[in-house]
Amino acid sequence: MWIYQKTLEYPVRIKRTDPRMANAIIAQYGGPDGELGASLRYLSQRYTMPTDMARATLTDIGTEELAHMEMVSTMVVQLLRDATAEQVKAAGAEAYFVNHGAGAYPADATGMPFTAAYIQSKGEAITDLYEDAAAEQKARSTYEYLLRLADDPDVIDALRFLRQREIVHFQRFGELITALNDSTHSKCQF
Amino acid sequence: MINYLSDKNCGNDPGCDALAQMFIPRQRWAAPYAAKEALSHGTAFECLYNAGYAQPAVCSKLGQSAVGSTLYDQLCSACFLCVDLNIYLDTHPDDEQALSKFNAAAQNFMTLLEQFEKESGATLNFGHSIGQPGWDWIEAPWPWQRMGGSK
Repeated sequence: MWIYQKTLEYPVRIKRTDPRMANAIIAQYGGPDGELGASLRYLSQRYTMPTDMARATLTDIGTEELAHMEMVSTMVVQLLRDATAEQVKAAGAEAYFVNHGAGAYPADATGMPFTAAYIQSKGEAITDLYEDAAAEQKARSTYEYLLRLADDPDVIDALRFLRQREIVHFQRFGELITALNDSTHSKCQF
Repeated sequence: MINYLSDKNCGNDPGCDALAQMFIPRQRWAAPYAAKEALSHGTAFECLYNAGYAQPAVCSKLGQSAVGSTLYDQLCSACFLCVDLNIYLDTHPDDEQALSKFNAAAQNFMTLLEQFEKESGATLNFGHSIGQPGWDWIEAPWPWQRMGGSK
């Protein structure tokens, strides 16, 4: 069961229309290292986690990723709001505009639709947690590339928050790996 | 209760079981930021703020942000402190100081939520907020429509 809270995790208030930046940021909605994939990855993997600690952490981080997905879609729709045809053409953002107007659609920065092939759920805790730690680093890199492209302080503000959350989640997955290394002794004797 | 490799001195121990597995040290407790500073930093913990690698070209854009002091921003801040302490507790379930901070943060969140709902109406769905005549749950602004101002 999930409850919806009618707030963002972090306030997003982008005042300047910028279709080009919207077309880049959409990658963190529906791209290979985006928030939709992150959420689905953790919420799918949690069923085969062997410890209460791991089940809880994947549930909570998977839930927080849904709030990040909401922040990223909010950034996209605010950046596209009231965009004129001239602004779209000047930004070279025609392809997304023709397919989705000012809507939020889970795709990567080239328009490739989201696919579950971006994630894995292997049924083995150590393997899944290594993927999760790597996923947080990939998302951090993406946020850093986006930060390098961004010049609007309102955009930078939200991207910086999301980047920092990747670092915190990476630490928690690392702690799960460290705890599991020590506590799950299903090792073969050779 | 929980054993971590970080608690063992196994660096040069030939019998050590630590090969072929990655190792992240366990975070140790330190007093967290207050709610507004936590949200501004993106973490409740100073030791995790901008920890790890960053591309050199991005460093100039990683300064602290400016979370406002409207009731909405206060609610987001209070909620966020709960989120981050919750996730810390998930991997540190025996940390009594963290639990005490979490419970204080949760109390603060619930107090602010009550104030916020008087101003902005039902904020949680499915029975977690009390319904009002006219069913104010459906009323704008939805989170992606909030552009600042007092609400």
